[in-house]
Amino acid sequence: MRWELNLLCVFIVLPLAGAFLNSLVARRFRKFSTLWSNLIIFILFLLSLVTLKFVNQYSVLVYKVGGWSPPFGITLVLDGLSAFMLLAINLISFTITLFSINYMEKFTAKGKFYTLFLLMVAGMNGVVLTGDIFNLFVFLEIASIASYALVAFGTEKDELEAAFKYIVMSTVASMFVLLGIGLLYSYASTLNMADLSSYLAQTEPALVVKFAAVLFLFGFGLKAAIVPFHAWLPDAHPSAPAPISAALSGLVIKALGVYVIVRMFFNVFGVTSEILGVFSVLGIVSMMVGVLLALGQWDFKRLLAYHSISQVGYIMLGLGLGTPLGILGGLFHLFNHSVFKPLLFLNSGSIEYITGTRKLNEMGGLREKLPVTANTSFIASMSIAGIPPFNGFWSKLIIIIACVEAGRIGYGFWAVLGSILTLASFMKVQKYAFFGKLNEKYTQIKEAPFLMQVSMLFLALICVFGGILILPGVREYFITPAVDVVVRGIAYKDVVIGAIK
Amino acid sequence: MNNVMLNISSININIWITCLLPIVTGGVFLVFPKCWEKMFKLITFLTIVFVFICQILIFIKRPFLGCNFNIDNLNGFVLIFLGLFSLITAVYSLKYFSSKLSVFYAYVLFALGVSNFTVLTNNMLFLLIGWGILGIVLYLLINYASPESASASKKTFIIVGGADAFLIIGIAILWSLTKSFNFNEISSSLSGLGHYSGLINISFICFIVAAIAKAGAFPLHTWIPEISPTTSIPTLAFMPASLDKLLGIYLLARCMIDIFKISPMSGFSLALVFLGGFTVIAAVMMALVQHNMRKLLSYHAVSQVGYMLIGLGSMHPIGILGGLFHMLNNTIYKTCLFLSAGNVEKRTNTTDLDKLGGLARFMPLTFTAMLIASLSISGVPPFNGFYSKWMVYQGVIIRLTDTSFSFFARGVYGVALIFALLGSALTLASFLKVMFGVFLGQRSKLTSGVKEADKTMVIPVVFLALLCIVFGLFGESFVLKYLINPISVNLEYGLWLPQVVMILMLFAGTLGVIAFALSRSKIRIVDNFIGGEVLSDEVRPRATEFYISIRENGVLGSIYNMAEKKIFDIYEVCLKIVFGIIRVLRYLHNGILPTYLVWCLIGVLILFFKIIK
Repeated sequence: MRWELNLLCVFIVLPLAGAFLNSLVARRFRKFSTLWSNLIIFILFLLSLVTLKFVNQYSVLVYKVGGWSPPFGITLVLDGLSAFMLLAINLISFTITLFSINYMEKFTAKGKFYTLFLLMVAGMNGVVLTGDIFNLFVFLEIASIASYALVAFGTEKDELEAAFKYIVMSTVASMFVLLGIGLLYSYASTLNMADLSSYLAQTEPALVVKFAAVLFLFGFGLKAAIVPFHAWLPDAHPSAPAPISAALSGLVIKALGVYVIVRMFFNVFGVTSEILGVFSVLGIVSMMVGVLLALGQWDFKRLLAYHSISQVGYIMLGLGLGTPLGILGGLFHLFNHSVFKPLLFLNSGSIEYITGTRKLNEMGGLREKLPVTANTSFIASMSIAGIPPFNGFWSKLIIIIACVEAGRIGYGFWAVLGSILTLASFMKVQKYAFFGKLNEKYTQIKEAPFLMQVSMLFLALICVFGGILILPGVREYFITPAVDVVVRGIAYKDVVIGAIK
Repeated sequence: MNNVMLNISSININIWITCLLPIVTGGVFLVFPKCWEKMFKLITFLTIVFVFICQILIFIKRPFLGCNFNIDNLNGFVLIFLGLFSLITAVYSLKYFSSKLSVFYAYVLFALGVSNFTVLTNNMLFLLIGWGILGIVLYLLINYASPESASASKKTFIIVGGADAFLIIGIAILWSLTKSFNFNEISSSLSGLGHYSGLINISFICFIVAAIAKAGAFPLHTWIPEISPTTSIPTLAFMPASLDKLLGIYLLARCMIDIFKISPMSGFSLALVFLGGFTVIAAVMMALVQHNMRKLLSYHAVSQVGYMLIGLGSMHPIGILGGLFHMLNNTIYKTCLFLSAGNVEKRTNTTDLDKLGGLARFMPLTFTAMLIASLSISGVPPFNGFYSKWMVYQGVIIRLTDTSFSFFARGVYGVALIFALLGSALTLASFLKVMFGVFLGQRSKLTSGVKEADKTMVIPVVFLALLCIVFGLFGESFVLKYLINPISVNLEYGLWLPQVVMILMLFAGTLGVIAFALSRSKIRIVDNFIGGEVLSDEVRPRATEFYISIRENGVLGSIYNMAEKKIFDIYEVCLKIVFGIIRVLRYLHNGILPTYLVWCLIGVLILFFKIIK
């Protein structure tokens, strides 16, 4: 079991090492740094597939950093949920780096881009693997700071303004999280999640714990862009280069936001019906506000950014139901969203790369000239709108069924309404960007470079066949372990402590 | 959700052929469009014919189709017609489109395979998937070869896809009550769940929304007139006129009769009858004032759905049969009408009634076929439209005279009957306009010297016109007996004898011919003239001029003005509401950082209040 444990730290060490090596040599060997970064992410993607098998075999793996036993040392914990998130993060990161090989040519400092990107991946992998809340905060900051720099990567007026807003709001959230961690540490004298959880389970629920819980909900809620903490996102996500928008919307808000909320509330604090109710209501509000604001947008990327808020709302709604079916729907939607939303951002990047515009009303009839971009974006639009047989349909279906099953038909209707409005806004995208008459400006354009096409096609394939992932026989390897971890709730501590001994 | 499992080996060979073969063929065309330039027509026709034969065999032999599929009296005849209309559309479009036909054929094959799947399945989830994919195919077909329809197709897909989302919730309710997706299991468990009637009603409404959005009844019909002026004729004839009608009404019948077993006394039944009556009259009034033949036909495509709703809503066996029969007849004559309009358009490049005229001499076959179809849709005996309308009226009249119904209920049936009868007369009025405007009267600049349409475009039209006659003459002895094939319906009610009427009519006609021959009068062929003069193109009388007085009527005129401002269009109304809300939200997002931080603060305070108290 030794080598398997060592694999866990590879997820953090490899991208970190890659990032530093990149920053040293990127200026000399430009091609090398591109190749190297892609290779690292590809290896991580393969390894994340391997971890699924580990989880199936051992159910939980705990790595003690430096050989120190908890609660004194830091642990890395791989369970179903972490493995699920690792797969999502590294799979999407892989397609994003592939896309950026051509796309980032138009920026000068491609090496720096890869450095920052690898740092961000290291941070996200760390967040989902760590079993220690302070360590989690450290990784959270690594990923966040890398993402601030990436948002400002274009260093134009708008990018810098967006990055500034993002930094301020995100730092406020981080500070609240830090305050919460401090409070919990002073109360329980431990930072290890499993240990903390068992301490909380033994004592009467104290006010300070609830206080910390609210601080966490705000802090991580802001990272997850839940309304009313979402205001940074519509500026920050569109300003970044397209591959980074894809990573931010597809991965960062989920790894740093939703995942941590699930981990802290379901596995450490333990959920009450009150908390679940808050999740659902926050989810519905996010869903509706996000989609309504998206409908009014004419900037393709901004529209997509608002949809991220709305789709996180769906995830929170599913999780907030608290039933196994709801959690399955929420987590599956999380995965699906991290497939189709990056794809849409990559489409927008491809259009911007080719035509130089992000304004929907300046496009038109691009379907003729850009078949790959147009068809993949059509698939992704259908996915996000929940049209069968694409993957988004399945997760929305499960969420709606779960709403009704939990006796919350009202929630189900909100979800349906959100779904219709999502469809409406993506119909707008399709109409203005791809269908209709070809804009005369674009009679000479050509389809995007080969690697960009490959990464878009790859994601589109997952969208088309994503439904297979929840068929019995497949889901046992893919999502059931993750759902089990969440459903078991605070039994997490016993599993982890059992695995340490 | 374990019963969702689809075991590949358990799929029946019939399902492989009828559903998956066309989908796979279509998929190959789409993914590798270049490789098949020579062969794709042959492959398409072979596939469709093969599927069609298989459909007929399934219909006749009723084999066991595996656990998730089923063939019975309700979906059997629908199945055959799906294949028939795909074949007709494929033949017709051979000459209609000039390029990239393989993509169109791919969509047609998709539509065929998916609708077979949707009709044959008895699993709710599969139905939902098929329903959604058909929406996508519809969207793509509307956009095919007509860049001007981008906006209309958007509206279409929002309405159809939105209705699909309602179907999800309807199915979710049924699943959470019965823990099953199977039609039979659901319907057998629903009867024991009377105390959940509120939930079941919500579920039923969701199903109705999905069904009428697809079939195009008021208030979810607005996509059909919207797409009609711009999209291609084969698309119009294939999707809104035939496939979507078949599927929408099929779903409605399936859930009313089989799943929810709606009682004729219930409010739903009455509501549907009223909705049907209103759809008939509202759409026909809109059709009357149209100048564009495509738009006029599309309003009739909506109006005819009303009769099916009335028939099904009456929940009397003869009414239901009439509704289903009308569904078949409607697909036949409506497809014929759209395709004839396509023939005219192909030769003259317009469907504007003001610009056409006098085509009967040049396009005799198209004229005859369209005349027959027009008489059918107007419910003139002995054609098929009359037969099914007659049955629908019978169903309504039986309810109307049934004293066990409340006064109010009978009143609703009475109103629906009046609307239906009036609608039929007005349909005839509006088709007089079409026939005169296009084929009779004086020639216009555009219509001089045109030729009859290509063979591949005339044959489908003539075939459908013949079908109108056959279905009208042999309604009972062939269609009702073998196709729709009701299990135990007493057809004693006033069925009429079309053959006898036909013979009498033919006899009268023959007498006329004989009288003419005996009189030895001379025939002289001249151009059309009015008041002894052949008028120039600018001043010749146009068909639409006779209908201007309808618009000029005070009350009607103001209603028309409102309709043209789309006040009655549920889509536009929702759009206005949504954009009102968006304006408020955008006002709140002013881009100023301190404002956003204040929200966060307020958010945290609410969370504190909610969680800590």
